[in-house]
Amino acid sequence: MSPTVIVAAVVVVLLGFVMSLYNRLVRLRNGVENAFSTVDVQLKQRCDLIPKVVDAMRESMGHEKGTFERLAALREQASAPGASPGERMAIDQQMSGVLRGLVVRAEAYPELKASESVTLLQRSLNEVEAQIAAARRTFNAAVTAFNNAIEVFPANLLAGMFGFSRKPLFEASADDRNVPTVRA
Amino acid sequence: METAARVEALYRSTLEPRIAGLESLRLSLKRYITMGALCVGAPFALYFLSDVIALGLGLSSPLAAVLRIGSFALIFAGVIVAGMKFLLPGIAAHANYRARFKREVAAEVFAIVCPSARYSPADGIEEADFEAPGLFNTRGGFKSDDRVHGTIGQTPFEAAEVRRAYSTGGKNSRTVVVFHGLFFHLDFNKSLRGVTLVQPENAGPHQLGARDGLVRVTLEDPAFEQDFAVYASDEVEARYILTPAMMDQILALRQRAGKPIFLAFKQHRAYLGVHYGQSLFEPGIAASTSLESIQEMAAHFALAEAVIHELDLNTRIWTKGVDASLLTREVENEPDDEIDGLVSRGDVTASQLWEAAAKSIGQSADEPATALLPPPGTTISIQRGGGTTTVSYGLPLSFFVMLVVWAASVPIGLAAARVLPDAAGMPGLAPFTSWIPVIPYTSALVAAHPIPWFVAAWILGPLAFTMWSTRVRKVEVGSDGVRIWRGLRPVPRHYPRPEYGKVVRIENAVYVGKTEGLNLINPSASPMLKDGEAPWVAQELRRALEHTPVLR
Repeated sequence: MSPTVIVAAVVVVLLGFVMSLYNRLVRLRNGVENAFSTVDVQLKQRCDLIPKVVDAMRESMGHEKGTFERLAALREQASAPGASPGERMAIDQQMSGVLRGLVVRAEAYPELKASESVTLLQRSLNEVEAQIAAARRTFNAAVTAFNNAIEVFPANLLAGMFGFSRKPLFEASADDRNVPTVRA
Repeated sequence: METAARVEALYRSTLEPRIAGLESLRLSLKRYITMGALCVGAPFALYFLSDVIALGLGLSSPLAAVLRIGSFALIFAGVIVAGMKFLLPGIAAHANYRARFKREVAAEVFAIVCPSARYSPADGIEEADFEAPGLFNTRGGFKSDDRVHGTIGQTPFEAAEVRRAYSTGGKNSRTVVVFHGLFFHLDFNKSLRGVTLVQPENAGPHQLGARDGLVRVTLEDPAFEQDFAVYASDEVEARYILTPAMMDQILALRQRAGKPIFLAFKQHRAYLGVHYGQSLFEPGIAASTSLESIQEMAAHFALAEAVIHELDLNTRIWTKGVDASLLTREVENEPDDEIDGLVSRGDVTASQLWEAAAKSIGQSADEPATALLPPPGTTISIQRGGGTTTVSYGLPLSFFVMLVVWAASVPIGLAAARVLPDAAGMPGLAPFTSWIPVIPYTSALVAAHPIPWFVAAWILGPLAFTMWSTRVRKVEVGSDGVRIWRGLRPVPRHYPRPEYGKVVRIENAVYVGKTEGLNLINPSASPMLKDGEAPWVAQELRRALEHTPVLR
């Protein structure tokens, strides 16, 4: 076997290896994008719920006017096209906090507590929150898999070359651990 | 523990005396088992040790051979005796002991541990419910009993002991247990579109079902990942179910059960299996049931409550409402078949068990409601008169053919035997055959090929003889007994009444049975009959027995 054949074989093997590595990284990156779009769908669902929440509660909770306005503004921002994943995440965090606060304060209003439609809204809100939490964790799992893949040797050499870079995780807020306590 | 104290109080006040009341049943069951094992085991031991014994006693080799063959024959005798004397009474005793234990002891324990649910020991869950999530291998037989169902808090649930096992078949066949333990299915508090399976990390591949179309989901809780492998049709949905809190709860439940647990979530149901690998809720046989085993039983029953509590299924803050459809299955008041019904009663006798078993394989002791007519074209004639009923079957052509075959096989067999030592090159056999004279015609016939003639004659001859000599010609039911004429015998066999007084039909033949108890071998009272003839003959014979008074 001549040296040229050996060199050619080594080059082919190396090329094959690089190709499979690259394909793997692309697949993982697409996984991250797919996971993010799932989060996005869930966030949109929650945005759609907000006008209903506001309608149901505005009457009784007159002095929470500031909160309602803030919600409306956040909703505007979330639905604006072209927001980056990072911005979306930040909006999501704020919206979660505001909504939770609202639900907790609604407990203090007996007429809201007794209302069938408010109960249903709270259940829907819980549902969406649980779905968002799940989607967010799926996103984090995909990002972790991607980040791990691009940081280990020898993929880290290739990742820089092809422009793969570390992606941010959703910050796990302490609230995710606790299911909101709403009357069942 | 509060429950433990209550169970102990119940044990001291109520259960202990009841268990003592079951003691005689337990002891008789134990005796049947011991005697049965002895009956089969002793000849086996004798057979395997026969060489050693012969050597020890210094027996000559023919005597040693006799010992070995004799002990081999004893194995068969032992099996037959054990089967007839101990097996059926043993099964009956076990069924009674078990049924009464469950009714008088287990049901009481259940009532104080789980007051909001019902316990039906003879029932089980449906195989379809067990298989619905595709959690387990579907190979092999399914058995389920000790069904528990009801509502704890807001959550409807059903649970039962389930055993699924298959045998590998082939030469070294062994039984592989897929799952044996408690299986629950519960109304889940979230609505689902796909399937999520949570399996122990160390579950054997023989236990698990096919996971077609499911992806492995890696979760962030390292403790959970170490113990469980999650497969789901939708990753997001798997995380929707398996929240961090849920993972903690599943780990806590696994800790509490102390056994591998399997979970599945599909549509609006949660499924949970705790694999114990042994029977639960069964009474002790070797020793009487102790407080410890009663406490253990209470712990198994309490698991239902723990599952609902630990998995937080009563928290219903999502959009899904309570769905109690899993409880609406018709509770079977009627047992599956007669044997099941008898076995769950608690006072079955061996002969009842025998009759039910015989019936289930097509033997009928039941009188049809309407009088059956002789089927068209039958050659059987039934005559009544003078206090007797006579059934004449007549003799068909095949009877005479058999007679001729047998009659021919005797001289052929003898003639062939005469020349066999020469033909087969075994001169040692000559002294045994030298007495046979030359038979005219026949000896010349077999001279060319004595070995095939010998084999054919000695196989066909006895076969033909058995067939013609046991062929039932006529049956007469009289006041002192049943007379049966077989073959060419001029004198009938007499089966006295009232010892014999039962007619049983198995498929297309009729037999006369003993009135009391069970006998494994019934004298035949008919040849093989055509369709339609056997039920008619059986009914006529039964009527004859009924209407002919017994005079002794």
